[in-house]
Amino acid sequence: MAASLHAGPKLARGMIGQTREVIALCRKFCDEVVRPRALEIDKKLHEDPDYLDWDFVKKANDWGFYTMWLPKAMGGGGYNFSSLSYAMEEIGSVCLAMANLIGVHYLGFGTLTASGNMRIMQKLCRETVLGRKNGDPCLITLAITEPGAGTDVEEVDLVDKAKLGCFAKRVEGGYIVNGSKVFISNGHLSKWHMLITYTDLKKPSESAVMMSIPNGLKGFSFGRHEKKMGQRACPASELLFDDCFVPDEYVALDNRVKQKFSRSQKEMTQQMIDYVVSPSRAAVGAFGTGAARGAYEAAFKFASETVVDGELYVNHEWVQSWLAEMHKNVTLSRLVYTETNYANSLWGLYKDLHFEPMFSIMRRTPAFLSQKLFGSFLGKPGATEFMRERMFNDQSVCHQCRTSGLASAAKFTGTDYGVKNCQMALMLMGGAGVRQDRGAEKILRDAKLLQIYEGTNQLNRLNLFKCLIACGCKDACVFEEKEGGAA
Amino acid sequence: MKGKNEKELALLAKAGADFASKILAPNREESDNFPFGPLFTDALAQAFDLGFFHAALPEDMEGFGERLSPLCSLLENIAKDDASLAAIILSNAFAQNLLLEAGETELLKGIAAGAENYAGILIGSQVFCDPSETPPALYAKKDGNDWLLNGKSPYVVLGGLAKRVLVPALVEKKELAFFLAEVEPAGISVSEPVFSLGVHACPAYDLEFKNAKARFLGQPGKAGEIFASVAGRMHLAAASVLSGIMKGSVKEALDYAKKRFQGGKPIIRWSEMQMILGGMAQKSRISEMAVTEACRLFDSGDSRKGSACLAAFLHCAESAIEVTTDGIQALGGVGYMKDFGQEKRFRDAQHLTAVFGILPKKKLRYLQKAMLGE
Ligand SMILES: Cc1cc2nc3c(=O)[nH]c(=O)nc-3n(C[C@H](O)[C@H](O)[C@H](O)COP(=O)(O)OP(=O)(O)OC[C@H]3O[C@@H](n4cnc5c(N)ncnc54)[C@H](O)[C@@H]3O)c2cc1C
Repeated sequence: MAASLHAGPKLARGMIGQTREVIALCRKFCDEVVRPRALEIDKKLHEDPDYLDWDFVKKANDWGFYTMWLPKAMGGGGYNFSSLSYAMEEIGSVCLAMANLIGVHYLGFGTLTASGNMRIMQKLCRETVLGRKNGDPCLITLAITEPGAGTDVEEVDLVDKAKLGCFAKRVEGGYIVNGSKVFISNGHLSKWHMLITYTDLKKPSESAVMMSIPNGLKGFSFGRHEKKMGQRACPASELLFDDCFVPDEYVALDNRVKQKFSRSQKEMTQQMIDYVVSPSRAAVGAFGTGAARGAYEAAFKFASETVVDGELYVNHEWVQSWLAEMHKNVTLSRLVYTETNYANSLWGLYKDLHFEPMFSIMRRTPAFLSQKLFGSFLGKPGATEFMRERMFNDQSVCHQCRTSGLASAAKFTGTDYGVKNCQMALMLMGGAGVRQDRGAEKILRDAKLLQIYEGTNQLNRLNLFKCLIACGCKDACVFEEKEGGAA
Repeated sequence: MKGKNEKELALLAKAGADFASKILAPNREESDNFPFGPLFTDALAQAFDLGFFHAALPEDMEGFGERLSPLCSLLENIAKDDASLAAIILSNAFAQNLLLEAGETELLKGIAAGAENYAGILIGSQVFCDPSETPPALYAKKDGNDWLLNGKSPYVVLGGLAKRVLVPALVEKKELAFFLAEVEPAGISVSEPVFSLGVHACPAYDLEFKNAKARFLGQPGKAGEIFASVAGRMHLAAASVLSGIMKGSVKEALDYAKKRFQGGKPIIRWSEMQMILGGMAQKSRISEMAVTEACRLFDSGDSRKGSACLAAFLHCAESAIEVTTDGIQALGGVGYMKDFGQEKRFRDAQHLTAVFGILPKKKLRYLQKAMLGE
């Protein structure tokens, strides 16, 4: 049954109003900040590929976008996490790179949340909130991809065969990390990096460690800043670790914790990955919806203002049909990410925060009181244990699969439609669409990335099969295709 | 370049392929950085010396004459590695063909014979932009024996690179005609290169004319016909560029998929990846076959040549968009980076398809002209 049917009756009151508020704020932000600079910054980054758009990050910080979706008890805005997807669609419809400059921060924070480590969560939230007050943005990244392993690290059934190079050695009081991570979004602009590495490169599925790495830690540095086709304002960075000692206080989750739970280490690693990617893939689906919408809007504007063969373009019947198709692509993409967010609210990362009475209590409690009441408890070891118990023991495998499978659907539906609409818009606009100053071509360059990160769309199709379809056939197995295949 | 027999045609194709792989491919990323880096003027000078910009000219102007297969195979071979130079040759061939179609053979002969460098042989134009579809904002008036142009011509390909530009203008504000003007010192101001989606090293410029002296081409009232006739055959040359881009994309994807390991084996061993690569290779092969067959029909003067050229173009354009999209995908994250050629091919294919005009409208025209005979 659709997640929305389950979620509808349980939906916390006030969530809709809050989401409306978020959308209105994003529209204002787009008008005042994003739209006036999106094309100019894209061009500037072609002139100077190493330019970092601190100005935008500072503005987003001032507007509260880096704290809005952090828990209220930790000093954040406490906005419902589903509304982040709507925000990403709004901002993404104008500039995907700038949406990414905001969205990736929550990918980093979501990763930390999936560790259940309340102490580090509280620390990073405090720094982000302080950064907002001081005008000194504190952003968080997620670093998992390696030069030799991209698709592999997103899937426990593949990772044991991966060519990994980033290794964490247990030493007294912490770990020593060596190796590198690549393509890390916002790397050069962030202060903290949620690093996923392994203590046994032969059995990574059972030896994953999550650490929070601050800038300036000895042995940690930034490498190259990639030259991308699009989303130029959002840097993709290389992170280098050279005998980098990471003290235990920065370790968010490792095997010492995982041993305490009933699931196997490997199952827990997959559960952790699913907790992270289920909301983040919904958000990338929302980026895709934004791209589809931006392209549709550009095409519609062009068709409404241009005369072709003596007739207003929008009055050619085939153009009407194309615009209808593009409109449908936007609507369907939005429906799938919305459905995924219902699943996340019911069974995923933020299930406890979204439902009555928790949501209403948190919403109504003034921020200072909320921090006072809950804040002191959250820093205690008991809070982390309680949180981990809820996360790792209270989620059924069935719920994990439904959420993860839907998230994959949201990801590849939204992003495929995003690219499709861009291509339709350019075909419809002819030569007018290719000029950078008209905006349409940039959406296409930006959108293509969406089919690649957060797991390629191919990996996501296989994940959907694994999560939602394979159970229908007792002999079905995934990622075990016989060597040689059809080649 | 005086060769006309099959052997010499094969040599031309090989010269194009060698030039692209040895001269263009190693500097592709740098050349594509234009206008934010230097233009690949050395490559243009060498291409001029090799006679690539003469290829579409009649035989007595050192070209390959009426036939389209030499031009197409040259373009396809170059576009495999870098579509920007192919787009320059194509754009120039379009303008040269407009001159021929307008009956200005002697004028063209003079240009070809007098050209001392690439700027001298290149002619800027709006290429596939149909002036009868979107009327120009450029006006021509008679001034004694001269014609003077006033107004604007947007997106003139090679406009700031070539010595001359060929543009449509409205005479007496209603009748369409083509004009040839020398860029200097004729009162034409040329914008910075327009920053656009693809083929960055084949730049376009917005031009503004203030009493710029120009030469009237052809006969009054014939501009629409001239354009339609040239566009008709040049669709095939455009198709060959797109076919070349596809070939390059397939090759790069295959090479990478053999080397890149995920899940303990080269990604080419996963059947989902094989499905992608197989689809790319099939679309590319059919496109190549469509170009070859249309060239054969065109060169033999077959009555179906017009529909063959347009059908080949439509097929290649749609396929190139799909193939180059998958071409990035096959490489994962690195496909999106400038380090490989895939992201450029994706932009170039999409760009060329769009600047050649509104694709769905071409499909309507195909039905009207080729199938319904309207
Ligand atoms: C701009 C950018 C930003 C990014 N941001 C981040 C970030 O912030 N943090 C982070 O950790 N990572 C990030 N990534 C990495 C991203 O998640 C990976 O690029 C992605 O997972 C694909 O991995 P890959 O690039 O190594 O491609 P590969 O895994 O090498 O894939 C190449 C091709 O092989 C296919 N393939 C691979 N395995 C299989 C299989 N088993 N079956 C079928 N097909 C297969 C893929 O679908 C793809 O088509 C980013 C990437 C980019 C490009």
